[in-house]
Amino acid sequence: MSENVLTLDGVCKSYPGFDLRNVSLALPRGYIMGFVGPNGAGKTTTIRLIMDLARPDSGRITLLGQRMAANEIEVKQRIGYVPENHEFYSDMTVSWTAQFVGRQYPTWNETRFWELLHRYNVDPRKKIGALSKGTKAKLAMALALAHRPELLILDEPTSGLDPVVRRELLSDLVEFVADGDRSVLFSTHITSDLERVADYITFIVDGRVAASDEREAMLERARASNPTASIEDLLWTYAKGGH
Amino acid sequence: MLSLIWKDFYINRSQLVFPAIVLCAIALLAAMGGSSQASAEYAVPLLFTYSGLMVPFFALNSAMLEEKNRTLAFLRSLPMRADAIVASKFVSPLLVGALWAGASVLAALIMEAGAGESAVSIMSGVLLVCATLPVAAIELVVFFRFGASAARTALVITVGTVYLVPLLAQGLVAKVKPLVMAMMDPEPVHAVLFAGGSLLLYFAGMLLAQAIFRRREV
Repeated sequence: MSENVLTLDGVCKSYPGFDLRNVSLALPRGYIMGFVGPNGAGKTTTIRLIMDLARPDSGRITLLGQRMAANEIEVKQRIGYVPENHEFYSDMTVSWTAQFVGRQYPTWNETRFWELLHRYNVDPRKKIGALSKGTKAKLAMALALAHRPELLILDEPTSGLDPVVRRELLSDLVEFVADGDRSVLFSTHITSDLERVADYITFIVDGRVAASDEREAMLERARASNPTASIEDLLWTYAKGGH
Repeated sequence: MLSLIWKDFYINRSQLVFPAIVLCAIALLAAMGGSSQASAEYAVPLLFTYSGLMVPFFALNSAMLEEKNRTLAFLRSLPMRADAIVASKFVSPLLVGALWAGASVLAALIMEAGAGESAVSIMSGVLLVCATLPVAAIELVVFFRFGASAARTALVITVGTVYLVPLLAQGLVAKVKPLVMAMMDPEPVHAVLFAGGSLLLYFAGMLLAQAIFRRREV
């Protein structure tokens, strides 16, 4: 069994009108985990807790073998994070933003960043405010990948993107984990993305983990009763309270 | 934290350009021998006005830009402490104030040399910058608790309370006048005490804002 780069153990968080209850999952090194659930299921809340942008009421989160709260800077330097909304300084250019972000990471690789920017076809002279949502997503992805993180955490990275950019981004994720030393957690409600790249899947419904396992094992179990079962069928079943 | 301070300076650089031009023009005119009592009478109120505005408005502008871009969340996702984000919002305006105070002292010295007599105590401009520190601290504490619009309201209310109300209130004018006169030509010991007190209040505000931000963010 390989080492886990991310472990959530009984994590709970309450907000007015929403409870995240007893969330547990483990992501082994070298794999991609899809974190899937309907809108409002608690995906973003869980990712915010993982990134220490909110503190859990109870439970334990371990990233790369460490607690984020105790080693915030060191752990964040080893993580690439792409939030759902890409918020940068709108009056600043792409290259200025990269310089600013790059200063925060000792492992920042300028060459790698420019390669990614070139591949994604992002103009470095453009102001952030002039970029489309898709281009901002590509910039966020390039910023997250340029310091060669050990763990990439993406919150709905493909939502709102056109199919070409989506495919490009997903193939980058596969390439990212190819060396077996890097891992990805990405949340989505687009199940076709998971079919394409996820090794593990965690279903979250109504603030609770409905299931978390290897994708193939889950599909195999589901196909015992329904030979054509897909991830979308599984999500539908869990969302309707089934097992 | 240095990169955060540099970022604040760079993003808000347009706010520093016009005052810098004014200062350079004053210094240049004085150096060219064009300084006279009349031009000093024009330049001194200008210097004083900017001294009263630089720190609170730089702080407010910087806070409003973060809110407009919703970039506090972006900064929190980077490997930097929440306390450093708050501290940079306090340190940047303080540095702007220090730079302005230094530059205006230089301009005043050049004017003084040109006019051959002291138009106003050099220390008074520096003290005015110090007097705005608690105002900026209140504004930033309010920003981290309630947001940029509330910070703008807090600035208006604080400035109104601190500067305008005593002057408008009947019977207070006579009491305030000696204080204003003392500020125009302060004793060194009073100047040091006043600057120290203002800085103390400023840093107390920073600690409060850090506690508020930490609580709000996590």
